[in-house]
Amino acid sequence: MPVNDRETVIKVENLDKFFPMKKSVFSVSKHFLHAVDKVNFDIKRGQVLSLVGESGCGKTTTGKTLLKLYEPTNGSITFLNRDVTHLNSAEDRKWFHSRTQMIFQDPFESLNPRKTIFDIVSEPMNIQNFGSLRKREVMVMDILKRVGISPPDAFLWRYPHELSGGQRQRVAIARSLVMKPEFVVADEPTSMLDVSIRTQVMKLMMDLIKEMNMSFLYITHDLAVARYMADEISVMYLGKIVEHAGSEELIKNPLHPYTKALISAVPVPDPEFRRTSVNIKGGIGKPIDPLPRCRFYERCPFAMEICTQKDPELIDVGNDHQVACFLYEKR
Amino acid sequence: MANSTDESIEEKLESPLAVRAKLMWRSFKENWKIFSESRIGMVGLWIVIIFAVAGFVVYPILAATVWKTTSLNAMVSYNPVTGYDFLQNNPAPPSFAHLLGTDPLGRDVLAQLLYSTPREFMLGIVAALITVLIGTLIGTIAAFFGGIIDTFFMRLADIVLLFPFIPFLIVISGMMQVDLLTLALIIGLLSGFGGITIILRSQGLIIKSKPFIESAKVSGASDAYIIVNHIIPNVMPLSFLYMMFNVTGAIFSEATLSFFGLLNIKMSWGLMIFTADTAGYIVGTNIWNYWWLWLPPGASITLICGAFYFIGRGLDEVVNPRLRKR
Amino acid sequence: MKPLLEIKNLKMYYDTQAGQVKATDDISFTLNEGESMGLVGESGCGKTSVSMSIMKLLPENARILSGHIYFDGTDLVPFSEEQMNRIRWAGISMIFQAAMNSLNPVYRVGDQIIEAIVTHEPNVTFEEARERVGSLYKLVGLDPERMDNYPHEYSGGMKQRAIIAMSLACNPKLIIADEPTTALDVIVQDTILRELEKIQKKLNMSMIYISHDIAVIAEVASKIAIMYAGKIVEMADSVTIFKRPAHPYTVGLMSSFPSIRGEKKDLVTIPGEPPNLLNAPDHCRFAPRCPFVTDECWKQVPPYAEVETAHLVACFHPQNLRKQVSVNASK
Repeated sequence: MPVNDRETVIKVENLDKFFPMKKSVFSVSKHFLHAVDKVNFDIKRGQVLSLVGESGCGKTTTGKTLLKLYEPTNGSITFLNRDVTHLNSAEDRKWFHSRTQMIFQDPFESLNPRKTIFDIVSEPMNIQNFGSLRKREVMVMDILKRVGISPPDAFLWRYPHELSGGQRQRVAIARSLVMKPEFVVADEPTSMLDVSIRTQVMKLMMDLIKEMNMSFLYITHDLAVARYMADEISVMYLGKIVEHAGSEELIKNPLHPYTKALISAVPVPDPEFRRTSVNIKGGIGKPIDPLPRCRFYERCPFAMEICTQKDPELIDVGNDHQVACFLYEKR
Repeated sequence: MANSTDESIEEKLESPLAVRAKLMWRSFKENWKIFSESRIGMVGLWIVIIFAVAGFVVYPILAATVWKTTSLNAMVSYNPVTGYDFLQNNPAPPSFAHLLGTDPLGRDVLAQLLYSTPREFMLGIVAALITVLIGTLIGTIAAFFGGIIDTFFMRLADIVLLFPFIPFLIVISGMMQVDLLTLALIIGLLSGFGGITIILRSQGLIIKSKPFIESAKVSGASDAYIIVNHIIPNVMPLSFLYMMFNVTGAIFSEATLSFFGLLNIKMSWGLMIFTADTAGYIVGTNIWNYWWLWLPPGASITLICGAFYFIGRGLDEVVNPRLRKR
Repeated sequence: MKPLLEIKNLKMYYDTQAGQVKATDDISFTLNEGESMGLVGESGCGKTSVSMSIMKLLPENARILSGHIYFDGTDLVPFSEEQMNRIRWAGISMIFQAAMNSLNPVYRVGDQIIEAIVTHEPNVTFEEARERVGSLYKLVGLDPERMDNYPHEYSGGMKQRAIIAMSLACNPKLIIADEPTTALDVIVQDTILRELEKIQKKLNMSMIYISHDIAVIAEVASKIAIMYAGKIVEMADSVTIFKRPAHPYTVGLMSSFPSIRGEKKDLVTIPGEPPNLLNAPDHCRFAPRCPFVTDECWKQVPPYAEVETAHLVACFHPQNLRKQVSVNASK
């Protein structure tokens, strides 16, 4: 089924997440960190969207807010046509959490060192009170086999410290998929793995996404990985989405000056290739109480007068490609 | 086809309880191996074992056999509290009849020592258990919920730390009759809100920020689930470690109070020293002439307190993997 | 021209409770003045061990069993700690992994560099050292006015530049950079790499880059050595390594990195896990994962031999060679 005809699994509208900068427990905050600022996107069934950006751009915060690790400050999140912005009842929470999951970056810290592999992988079922003990054991063995931990019964009662980094990450993936969720957020799942294991795990995820027809949000700082894993890419900068397009379209035809800089900064594994130089200056600041103007203004080689007066909105430039930059706004 | 695989898997699965029992045994063995490599820990453990055997096994046997008052030796009673030896001048130095001599009231010193031993153990362990229970609960809750709750308990802990502990106990004992169990309760309650809470709360904070907690939240875990299933198990080793140090504190506090005669108890090591002191045998040259009155109890207090501390030091390497040698 | 650094058959092992770890097993390579070389491999392959051995910064349980490290003609292996102290920083200096964490937080950054200078060159006065730090800062692209700031006032990129300045402080002939840009965002990484290249050319320094990221190595090194399980399995100039990799591990590595250039291609995975260096086996250590493995690979360690001019490979079945060569095992 063509992508656009599929149902929308998750839709995010004008999502904000602001963190108060408090001095102490008793003070009232006057300053806010705009970690996520008016973010919009939607992911259809079976589709992979990648949020790409450097550290501090808000991609991880967005992912966590989607899964209710943070409460949104403003905006709305719609999941399977239900408004899940604020989950008020225990049933709502149970319904939501049984269908969504997350894969974390650090294979060493995302598993409780005192629990066995069985306990870890069956935890979602344990929390949701799903299935008998026997049934859980069967499902755990099943998913372990599927992620390449074989033979599964040999691993059920081992502890994380007995496994390698790659194996641990597979266990983390198994944990997130054991209840067959419909939407999964992966936060840089391969950046702490060895190179030769990274590809294995990426391929595993691709296979599982296709097999289980899941909607996936893949958070990464690595554009090359995003290109490989995702159908669409959103580039984030200081809390805002500055460009969005299909992966190939974004890589071949970047429009936003930041995206162009990102692409030209990626080293190429070809010693004879000469990259064009990256011509942006300065470093990344923190979006605290940002003024209503383009956040990339100070570093942009194409900065204009209008960039200091208004915050650019995402506009459609055709071919399912959107960019937030005054360079492309038709007067 | 799916069914046959399920069945064959089911055959291979052992009963979960059996597996968990095996796992606990295995991890116990691993931890024991690490602990046994620590010389200081083993020394402590041996001392505790010797005292425990002496107090819980040897004494009852002796009391029921050799020291039982019969018509034959009605002139000598080995009862540590009420006994009296009519045959000699008391206090008498060690002899064949009384291996560690008698106290000013004619009671056998060795019997007193052994009689008090299980009581000291009970005191120390009960007080330590209460301290650790409170400390773990409060520390975990403070760490998990943060904010006002955290601030409140931390400031409370600060106050408790600065509190004059012994004077407070002296005052309490003036207001009510304090026996060993009451003392254990008071010590447990007081220390529970003190330093141990701060330490365990720090550990709780470290655990709270780990991704496996976020993973549980993403699966829909409630606060109670996370505290019970994740934070407390990861804080427990540290709690257990500090329990050892708390035993030391409790036994020592009791000895101090008994020395001032403030406790309503029948017999303890501290009380032995008190008895000797009030009878004037720990003054001037008497202190050397009547050494069997204060040296056995004094040495026992030191040894037991030291032993539990050493065990704590040995446990440190089990609890803190980073301290282990390669 | 005599090479600046010549490593000959270096064997460095760790003694651990579990056994002997052959961290560096018979390593040989040369480096000329002004040349830049890359050491590529995954975690546990021994690349950091090589650099630690050159600097003789080894822990107590590590021993150099045999081999030579000729620096400017002199063998460093028998050097005492005192003799090495004169070589370190002044002859060879090192940029450690996550170096930004190796700045002492309670001292000013400039003072730490001055300390390095004054320790190694006692004749330099405080003012002279300060001036040198100023020019070093300009060299690495930092504002000399910020010499008196504390590390926490610097950003990640700035700290890394300060570390590079410190490594240059005593005009070394050779710099070993161990993952110098791994912890940095891609745009900052680009800036730092360019700076390093500029400095290297200007001062005609030799550099050894250690990294797991072949793309970064492709940009900075003219010669590359691929390490696996404590041994160098292939060494050649960078174009050859990328265009005609001979060792199956190198072949696998080249096709397992997603790239944003060119057409989107399928990634090839190397099956299995990186090996344990404990009690290393007496056969080719890549055999369990090699797609071209045959019986003889399991019987002995393949010889490290020249299969083409200036192209060394340790394999019984080297690939992609201009003329097919079968390496005779019974030499």
